[in-house]
Amino acid sequence: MGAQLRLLPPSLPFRFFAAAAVYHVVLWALLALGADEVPGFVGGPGLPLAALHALTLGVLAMTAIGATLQILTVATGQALRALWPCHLVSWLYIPGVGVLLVGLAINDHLVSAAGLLPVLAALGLFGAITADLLRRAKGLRVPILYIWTALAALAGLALLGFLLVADLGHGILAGWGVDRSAIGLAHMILAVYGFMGMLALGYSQILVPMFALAQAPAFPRNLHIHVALAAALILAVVWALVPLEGLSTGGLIVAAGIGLVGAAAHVAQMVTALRTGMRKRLGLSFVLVRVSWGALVASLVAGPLALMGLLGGQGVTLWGAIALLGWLLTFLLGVLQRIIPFLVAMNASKVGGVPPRLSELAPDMPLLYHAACHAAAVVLVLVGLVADQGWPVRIGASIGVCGGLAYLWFAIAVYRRMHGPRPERGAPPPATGGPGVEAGGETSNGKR
Amino acid sequence: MMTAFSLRIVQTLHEDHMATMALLERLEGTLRRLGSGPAPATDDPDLSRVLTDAVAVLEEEIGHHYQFEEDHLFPRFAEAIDAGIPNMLRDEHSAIRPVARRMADLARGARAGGFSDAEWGEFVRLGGELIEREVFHIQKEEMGFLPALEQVIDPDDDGDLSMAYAELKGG
Repeated sequence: MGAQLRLLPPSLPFRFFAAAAVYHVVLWALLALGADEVPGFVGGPGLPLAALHALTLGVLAMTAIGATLQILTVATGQALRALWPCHLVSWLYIPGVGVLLVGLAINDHLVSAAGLLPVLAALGLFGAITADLLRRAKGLRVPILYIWTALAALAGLALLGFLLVADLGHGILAGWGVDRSAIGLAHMILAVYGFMGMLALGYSQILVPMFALAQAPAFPRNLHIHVALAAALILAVVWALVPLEGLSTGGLIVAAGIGLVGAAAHVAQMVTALRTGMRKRLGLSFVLVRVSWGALVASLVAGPLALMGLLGGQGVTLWGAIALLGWLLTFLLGVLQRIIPFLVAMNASKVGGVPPRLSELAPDMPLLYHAACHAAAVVLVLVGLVADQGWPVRIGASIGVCGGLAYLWFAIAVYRRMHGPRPERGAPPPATGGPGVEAGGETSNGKR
Repeated sequence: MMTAFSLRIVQTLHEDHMATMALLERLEGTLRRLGSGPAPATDDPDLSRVLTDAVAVLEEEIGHHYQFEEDHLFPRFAEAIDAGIPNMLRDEHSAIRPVARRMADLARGARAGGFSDAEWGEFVRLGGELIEREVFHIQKEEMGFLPALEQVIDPDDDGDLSMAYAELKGG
């Protein structure tokens, strides 16, 4: 069985991508509504927490699930054993995230739990499906290591997330003498640099060389980079949970330093792939990807500065915004605008007829609108945090809603075009014109 | 994603892709620079070189590379793994062939007597389509088809396939 039969029914990955596009709008809307509470936000219930989870669970993890199910099967050459577990993941996860967001926004731990339980069940099932694919995969050694690390981080962050939601209603952490903020920080580190970060770095090793037609990152250097990043992640989580304030900060700074070296080396490998790749013109999507790499490095500089108190009262929030909005969201939106038409074109090829051109599937205009809105939104949110003011966050998030709607327009347009009419196989090729066919065509007298 | 290929025939196909991509990148740059307005003079050094290379590479890609894949490799792949991928790639060949053939004809004509405005407009339009379709096609072959061929082709057959391809190219 080859990649063609390993292509899932398009509705399966696309329901996750469509849900991510919707939650992307929800994220910015929640951020706009709760803008006054965003500066200084370091956790706790309310609209900013709901916005944070709209981003992490609704957009980032949602896309990661859809992309993993589709890309991993094609890239590893391993077919899924059955489709029904993937459908079950979607039925549990997509509405579950919505219920959880409502619970977090209204600070109702029962509603939050009603959303969290199906979300955790779906993530557990997704982890099992992915682990089964990884176990059977041959080749792609280092990208697969990244994905294993991401799954381990997912288990850890799900456990800590469950404790945090349970604590909202029952105050169990204080009873156990456990610092809630330490659990929250470890949960955040596992989510950002563990689950989502490792997936982003691992898939970069597959997707960036594929789109640029470049050599895969050099082995064993990419393995060394992964080891450094995984070590940094483990150190950071351990030190976040250690209740010794001075020691903990020092340990986190060391972990961030190791992570910074690893991240810089990863970015250098990716830049080399783009520089040496056969395809040089990669368009708007890779502008976003390049910006996101800058934000990844910046987040690992901002983290230690925030811990040392050098970024003022907004330091931790600023770090989170750079990592989540600047790095992960920007990277994901850049890559997804390449993946969606790529998968649609492959699926369209499967159903016969003249294969569609990517430009016929993917409209440029909404992506231009989105990129402009996204850049303005992220910058204004960061300005609001630095200035400790809610109004720039509100304006930025409102612009982000417009960008999110443009992205949703793009996703819907691509999906609709996949089902649009196309010339049948065997029909005459698209009109290619001929001498004198074009309007205003000239004879040989007009030749230069 | 490209990897180092151990079989000579797979490496040769990969080198064909590199040559085609190099042409497409230069073609895209030239078409962007000259635009779709009135036909440029074909003594423009960039354009002149692109036209010369286009005839060679497009005819090679159409006449030999595609034919060899369809005659020798797609059947092996379909038998060993799955018919879906070869069918998809064959459909792409069918979509690219007339475009590349017409591009090569226009380029050959322009080298002899320049472009009319209409021919230039057609060349620009077809160039855009060719670049888009061929890049997507090569991305898929480099990602899945060539690496899988390394598993499909018996190393003992590598020499025979390489010789058959060389003979086809030598015409």
